[in-house]
Amino acid sequence: MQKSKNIFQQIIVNSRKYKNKTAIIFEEKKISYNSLNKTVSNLSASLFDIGVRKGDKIGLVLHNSLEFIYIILAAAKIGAAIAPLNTTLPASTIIKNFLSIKTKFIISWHTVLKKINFDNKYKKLFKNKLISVGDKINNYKYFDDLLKKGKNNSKYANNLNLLNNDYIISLTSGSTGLPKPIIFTQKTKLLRSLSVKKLYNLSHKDTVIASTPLEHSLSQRLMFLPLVIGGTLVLLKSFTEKIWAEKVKKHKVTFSILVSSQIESVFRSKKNYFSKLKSLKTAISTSAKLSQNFKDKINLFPRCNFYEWYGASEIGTVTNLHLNKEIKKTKSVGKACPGISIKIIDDKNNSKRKGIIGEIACKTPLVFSGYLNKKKMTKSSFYADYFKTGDLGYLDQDNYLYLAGRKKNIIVVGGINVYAEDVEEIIKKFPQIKDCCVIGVDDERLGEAIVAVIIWKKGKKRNVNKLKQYCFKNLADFQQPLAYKFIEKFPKNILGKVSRRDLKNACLKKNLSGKIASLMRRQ
Amino acid sequence: MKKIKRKRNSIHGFLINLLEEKGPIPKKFKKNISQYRYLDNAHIDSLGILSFISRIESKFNIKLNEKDTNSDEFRYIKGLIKIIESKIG
Repeated sequence: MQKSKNIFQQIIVNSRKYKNKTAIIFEEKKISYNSLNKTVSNLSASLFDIGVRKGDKIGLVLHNSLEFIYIILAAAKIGAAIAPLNTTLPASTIIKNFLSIKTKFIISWHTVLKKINFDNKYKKLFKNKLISVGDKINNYKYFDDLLKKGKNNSKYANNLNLLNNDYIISLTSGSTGLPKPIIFTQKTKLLRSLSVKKLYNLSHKDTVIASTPLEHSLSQRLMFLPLVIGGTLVLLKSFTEKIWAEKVKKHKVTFSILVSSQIESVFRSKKNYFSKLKSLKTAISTSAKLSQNFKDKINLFPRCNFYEWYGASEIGTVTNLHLNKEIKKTKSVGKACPGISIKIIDDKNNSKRKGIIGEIACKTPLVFSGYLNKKKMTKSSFYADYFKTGDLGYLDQDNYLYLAGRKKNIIVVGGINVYAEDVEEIIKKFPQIKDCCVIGVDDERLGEAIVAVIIWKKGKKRNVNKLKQYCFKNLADFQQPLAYKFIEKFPKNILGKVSRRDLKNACLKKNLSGKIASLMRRQ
Repeated sequence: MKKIKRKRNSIHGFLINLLEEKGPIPKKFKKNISQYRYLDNAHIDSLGILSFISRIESKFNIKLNEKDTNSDEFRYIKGLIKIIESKIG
């Protein structure tokens, strides 16, 4: 592959090379490289016709779907930037996020678009710039019409050098405070995919399965990876261990990256999937540590190579651990990937000695371009060329990295980062609540589950059901507390701050997703 | 009789809209939608199931207990309508 090609140009190359080979499998549909090229060309022409130009930002609110892929590739062709958001976020949050980054167009699942209250000011701003997917809405453009009406005027974009343009804007923190929009260029996305190709020796013969929501960086990499190397992508609408295993078997999937809670749920299944899936050569776990129980039993599945990653949205993959081979180091998350350098630093950016815990900082060619319109924030997140992750850890004498907690209050729920402060700010607005602290506790099914620890206002009537309803209305699915704990006052540390550690210890015993597990397990 | 049918249609419509929010119902199930097993088809995932239950409880002012949600009826539309009808009387 020539490095100078942008993502869509690479799809064109592959459509010439692989023609009718299947590029994407989604539910019952198979899309060839030829068909993908044609559909995306038509769509990009239609988007161009309605005014989308290089540098424009498009807000995207869709479930995993073919439409999502077509739109993200069409944006690559035009040079527009996509800002994807989760469909379960409240409508007010969605519009607030999009306005904060000056989104020019919104393409959204129809039920979400119907809920957004565009007052007169916004109606004018988004006139002819709202596109509904899945169903028609009066006065809005309909996505299927854009697919049909597109003219094949591919000349306008193909020769533009779009590699260094803003391409994907990831709105990681998005509920209440101002979002922290992470910018990725096409070049970064391509480099990240190619680094995976190189590390695991992948080729056009590989079939890759993506099983997390496409608004997240991990799934985007799994989407781009097979499409730029001429392989096949199997995209799941959503994950259950049974559906994942069925698709791996049916489509002879060879490569998969899963969040650790997904790997654990496949492993825990009574169906013993990992022993039966003969095609699967490589399975990688990311987002949180795998259990030692799983690592100890890995040799029961000798056909598959298991790896564990550590990384962050801003810097991509940092370390890699081959669990089958590096068995003496399974408490670590591995060594730095080729071309990446790790430092452990203190609060004054001084390097720490081996074995001493500090903040993990990384220098990598896979680094993001910065936080959109936040130069200060971008600058303060780096020390020299090293990105400060906010994660704590240490390096051993052999340069293996060990995680030891987080500086930031992030809870990883099913692989999705949730900022505790975002949830707290919403809950604190509930009239009967005096204060709230949100913590993450270990959970079998989700990796971490959210517990809201609450102090009620004195003399106010406590209505827990109303509080729950309020949370369901005002928080996205992945932000929902699975338990509420009510106390009189928060434990404080010596600095007088709320001790989240003490709160966490007080909440550790419950398996919070037990109710969910019993609901989901009977598949 | 007409009243019962109207009520059933209204529950049915609400549930279809609720599922539609989570994504399109696959075409192959549209002909026999009342038998659509939305949990087995991962139409609702682990993160969405609690809000799904809460929305139903809130809409019909009922409480779904563990027996309800662990039953086979809960997993397909016709069965879920039956559970809701039994609760609202």
